[in-house]
Amino acid sequence: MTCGLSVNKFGISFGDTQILKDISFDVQAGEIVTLLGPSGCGKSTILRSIAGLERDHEGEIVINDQCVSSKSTYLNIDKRKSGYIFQDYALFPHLNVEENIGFALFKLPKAQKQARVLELLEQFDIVRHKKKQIHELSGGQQQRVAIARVIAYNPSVLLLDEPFSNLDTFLRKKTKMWLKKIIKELRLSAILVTHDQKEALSISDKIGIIHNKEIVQFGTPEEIFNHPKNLYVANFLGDVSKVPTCLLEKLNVTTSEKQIAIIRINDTHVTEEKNNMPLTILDVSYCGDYYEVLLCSDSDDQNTLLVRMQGTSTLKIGATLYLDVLPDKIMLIDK
Amino acid sequence: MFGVALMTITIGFTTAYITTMYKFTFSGFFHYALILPFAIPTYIVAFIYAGMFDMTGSVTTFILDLFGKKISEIEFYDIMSIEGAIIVMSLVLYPYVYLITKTYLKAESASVIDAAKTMGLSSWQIFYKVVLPISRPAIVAGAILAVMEAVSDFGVVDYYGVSTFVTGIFRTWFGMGSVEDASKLAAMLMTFIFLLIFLERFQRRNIKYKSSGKDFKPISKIELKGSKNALAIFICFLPFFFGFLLPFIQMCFWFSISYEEIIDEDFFTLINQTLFISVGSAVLITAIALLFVYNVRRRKNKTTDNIAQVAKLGYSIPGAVIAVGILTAFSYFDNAIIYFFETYFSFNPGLIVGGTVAAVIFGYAVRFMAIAINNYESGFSNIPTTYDDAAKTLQVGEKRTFKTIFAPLLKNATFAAFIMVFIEIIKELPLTMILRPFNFDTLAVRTYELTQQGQIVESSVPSMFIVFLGIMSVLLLAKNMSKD
Repeated sequence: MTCGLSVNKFGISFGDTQILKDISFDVQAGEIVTLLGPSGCGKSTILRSIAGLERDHEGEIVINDQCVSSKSTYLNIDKRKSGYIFQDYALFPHLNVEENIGFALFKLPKAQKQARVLELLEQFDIVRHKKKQIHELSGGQQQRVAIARVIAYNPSVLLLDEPFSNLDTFLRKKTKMWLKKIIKELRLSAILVTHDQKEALSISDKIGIIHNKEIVQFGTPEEIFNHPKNLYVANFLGDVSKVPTCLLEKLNVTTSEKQIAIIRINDTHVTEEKNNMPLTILDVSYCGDYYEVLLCSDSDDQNTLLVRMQGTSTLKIGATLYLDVLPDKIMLIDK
Repeated sequence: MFGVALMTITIGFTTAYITTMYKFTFSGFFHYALILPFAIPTYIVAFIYAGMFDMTGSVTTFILDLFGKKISEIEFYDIMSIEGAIIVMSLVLYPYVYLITKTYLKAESASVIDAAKTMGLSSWQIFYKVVLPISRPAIVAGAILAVMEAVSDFGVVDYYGVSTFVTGIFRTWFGMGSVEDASKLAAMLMTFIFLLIFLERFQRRNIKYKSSGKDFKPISKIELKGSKNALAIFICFLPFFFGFLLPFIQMCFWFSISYEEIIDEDFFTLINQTLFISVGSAVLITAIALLFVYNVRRRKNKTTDNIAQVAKLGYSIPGAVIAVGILTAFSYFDNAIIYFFETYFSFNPGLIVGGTVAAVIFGYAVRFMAIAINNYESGFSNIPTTYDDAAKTLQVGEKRTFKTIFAPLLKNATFAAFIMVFIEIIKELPLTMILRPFNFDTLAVRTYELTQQGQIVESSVPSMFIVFLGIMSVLLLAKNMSKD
């Protein structure tokens, strides 16, 4: 497999403030790598540096086996073969769909340019909107135009900055599938940055979690979700709850001083069968599809556990429920 | 100064409050009509009022004839006084307070007023307990702008015989021929102006306009009926009538009886000269401002940004002070050139820059660059920076990006900048008077000269052209803004 993009020991500072350090990852052709982290952690800065919009950084960026950016090298933006999809799409409001897509094709002869634009309009299923102004399009259509405009000049690397943040939930699911298909078909090396965990898990081949200026874990979505390296990663990817000590003792699970035992909320089962671990209900919240129930053991009311239950409306604060947990669902991770 | 501040606040705030909070007959009309006094230069309104209300004025004579009295038989209050100047200036300058307060009230007060209503406060209580305190920074900022205009004025105070710094500069410069004293006066005036700028900026810090984005909530206007409706119409009609309608009607009447006498071949030369210098300067100033602001945006160049910020200060400096400064600097330059040529070539090349059209244009650029820069800054701020980045990553060069992205997107800002600079230049009086070459007149200068010769009625002809161009420009600007 060709390595489309390689980022090695990348770091960047603005003034005296270090934003990122020691960031390394590879993206193969046809692969989607997502950089996941909270807003303001510097995810977009990595994209901007790969595109050439930020110059001064540590480490090196290699596209198609050519170093495009390092301490001593800076390959101009137009030579990098990278396409950037901005969070607001950056479509030019005074140009129509056709003109936006053809914007970067000014070097081609007119007939060739028209043919290429038509090809993209058909490929992206927006041919009937070609004469429309940008404000006449829906969010999903605008995104298609933005991607078509970038694909027009055949980049090998696609940089996507929070591409779904302007779409509603339904359109988000639909567009995600479509985008994944396009990236695979065109064998692009795609990097997507987002702060949305579900989005990252569903679209990516690999995920890099950024925390405290570094990538704390890099791997496939399944690896990261099932074997989080620390509590931050575990918490970031889904709702987890600390397992009460009494439950660990009952299940014969031992932890070292540096470790903490956690369980995903969805892996807990609460029943009324009395042979399981008894816990008292501290609070009940109705959440539509399910109830969130906060429980504690009789011996230690500070050690709480959050669980989800479906279809129960008879839950009362102070009542006792019985917890059934499979020991292999308990994750022991670094504190 | 205090008189103008007090009157502009009274008129500007009252009308802004009424048109923002209440719905009444013609409220839509007054929304725009109350800005119209801006279309007539202060000095023209002053000349017209003098022609109407001084001892031999048309209105005075009409009233005396009506009651069969003579001027000596009544207690006559002369408009040609400091009080008269204050009234005239306030009638023209109140839109500063009106516009700033209205914008502020519209953006800022909806939720606060609604909250006050739900607490059961009466209209009067809402006015003095809520609206007045929260509008204070906007009112003060508007009043300071009006005062700055009043302090910089030459035409009104000169004609009404009121001594100010600006008339002092003219008297010492032209009357006594003392460049040094004129410069000292200019320096003192500048200290005062900078104090006002500082105060204005300080006040504006407290004005945080909400964006008209998704959280913008319009004020729910209260509908007025009966006597309250009539009172609102009356209050809004007064400043519109005295600030625009009355002087405009009088000017039209005087124009109709004197245009044949004034409009000759020389008058067309005068119009040509005015248009030539206004259009030429406005094009030049707009182009330079675009270069400045574009450079700041693309290169994030601090030096260019600092130059642009300093250039913006020019608008706060009175025209007379700028003219004195330029003339002093240019005369040093010319003298050095003359000295050089006389020493080495025994030849006197004469004035190179001083007393030329170039000096006038330079003066306009210093004074009005801020208007064009402000327009472009606001225009650029509406273009997301991702457009710049998108063009770069789409591998499109800078020239092409400018031609295909920025130029079309800045069309309205360019038009607005050009028109606003153009109007200001057409109206400008003291700077043109000091810097113009011999025999180079503009409509504003001719208006002033005619009034100096006591030909108030005749002065309405060049005035009419200035006002006509002003109104046309305001209309074009409004049309352009509605396209946005």
